[in-house]
Amino acid sequence: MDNLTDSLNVIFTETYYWITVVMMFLIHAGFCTYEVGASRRKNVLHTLMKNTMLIPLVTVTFYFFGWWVYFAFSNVPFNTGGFIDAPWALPWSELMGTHMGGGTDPDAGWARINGVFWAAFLLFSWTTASIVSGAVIERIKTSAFLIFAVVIGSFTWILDASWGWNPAGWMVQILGYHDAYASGVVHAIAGGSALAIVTVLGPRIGKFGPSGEVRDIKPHNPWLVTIGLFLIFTGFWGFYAACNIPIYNIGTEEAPFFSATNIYLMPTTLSAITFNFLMSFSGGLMAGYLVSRGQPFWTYSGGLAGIIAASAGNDLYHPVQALVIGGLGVVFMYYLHHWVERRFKIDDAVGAIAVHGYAGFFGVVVAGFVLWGYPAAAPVDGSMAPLWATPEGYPQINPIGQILGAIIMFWVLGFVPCYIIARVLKAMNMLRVPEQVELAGLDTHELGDAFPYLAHQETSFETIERTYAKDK
Amino acid sequence: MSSTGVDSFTNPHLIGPIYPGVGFEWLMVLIAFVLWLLWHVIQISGEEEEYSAAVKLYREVGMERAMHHATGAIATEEEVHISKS
Repeated sequence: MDNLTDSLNVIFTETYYWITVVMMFLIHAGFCTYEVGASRRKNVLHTLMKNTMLIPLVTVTFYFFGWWVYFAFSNVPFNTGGFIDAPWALPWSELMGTHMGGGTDPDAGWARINGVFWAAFLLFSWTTASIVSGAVIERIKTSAFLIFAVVIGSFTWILDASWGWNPAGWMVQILGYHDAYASGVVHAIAGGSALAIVTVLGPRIGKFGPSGEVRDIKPHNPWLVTIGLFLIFTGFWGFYAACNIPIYNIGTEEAPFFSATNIYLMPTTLSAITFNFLMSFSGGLMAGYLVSRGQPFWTYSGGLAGIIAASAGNDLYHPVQALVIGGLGVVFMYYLHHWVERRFKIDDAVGAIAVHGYAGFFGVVVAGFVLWGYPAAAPVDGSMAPLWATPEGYPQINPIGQILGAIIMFWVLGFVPCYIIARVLKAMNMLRVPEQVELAGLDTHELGDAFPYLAHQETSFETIERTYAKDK
Repeated sequence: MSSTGVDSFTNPHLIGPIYPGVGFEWLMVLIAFVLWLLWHVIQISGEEEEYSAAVKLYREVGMERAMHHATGAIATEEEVHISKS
């Protein structure tokens, strides 16, 4: 930090990620608002607390082991090289605390980046766990959900990021996997996890009628649902920015060329992703409005799903491609959601499996065809040869790698681990609240009515006020 | 006298970690790890007790009254205070 240009670069990067973290907080505010709005009045406070408490638990466990997993597992198990040494990410490292970057530590360059970079990844962790939270509302035990949150937020998602969202990850180096804004690494894995849990958990009481007909369980506050989605849209800007490296030399030492890059250190610009974010969002809203015939819930969800469907390639798409892919992704997820709901009696209370899982899976696969041939990342010394390579020897984006990648994200790392854990929790009677509690409402016995002043009854406090008022 | 090992910021080139307890990070992490696990144990146990008590109460008062209370429909003074009984 004794050179002004280098120092400005470091401090700008530190500030850049710090701002993305603050913006991404809005995603969680949005998820809480959305879920609370979607739940019935008798479950509002339980829903809120279940989602809120994933924040501290994923944070501390991401500090303990999640951050280290990201660096350590990028070769494991399919590439040569074994576990990668990442001393700066171990929880007992001096670099996991207040550190000025001086002294003799060879990794001291991490001193000013470690905390903000850790936090940016952590906010992705919250998002991944929070996506699952919405699907399971109104019947899961908080304790069970928090176990899933730790597993998904601090292990499975960050393992997939190590494999497929890291320039040295084996999926990138061998399969040519490309997923710039996390269609698969955040959204598809969250959707697969949610599908596994609701499969074992079962539907809410009364969701399906005696003939198998699907009953609509109305949200207690649709306006709150839409505010929540607006907050998620806003926070998503921070999510996109956090997926980039703000300044990186993509040229050579002799002929430097500084640019923003995606997470794979391949070129893009903030301008490009701004075009594509807004166009895929618009395509999603337009398609959602049409397929749902103007239903607010699915139109807003369509906006989110449109972005997710285009996110894998939004660093490179043309804006019109982003628009069309976003729209098609929404049509795909909307019809698949309703077919799965009817066919398998899956009760996804907020459409999370569809919006994140199906649209994310779609986005990863489509990127393989549209971006076929681009370099995925620079080759790593000692890595196995990629299945498909560019003329310069870089791993190449391709449809087969993307299809395999989508399966790994949704099924292998999303569905399978959570299905096993859900089965174990169910066998221990730790998964679902008792039937009586579900019927009476999860707030009723302990937290009480969230809106007592809207009830057609006098609350105990109003009795006190009335007694007090008699003397006035 | 110092409890942190750092009493000067005059030569930043030589300054690395500046939090209290340098050298005891493993102990702090161990304590935090135990507290995390303990939190889960207490939370799980508390939630199980809470649901057991709720089920017992609902069996006593009947599900119809419990659900009547939950919806906020017109309720008697006794029903208003079900959760406190």
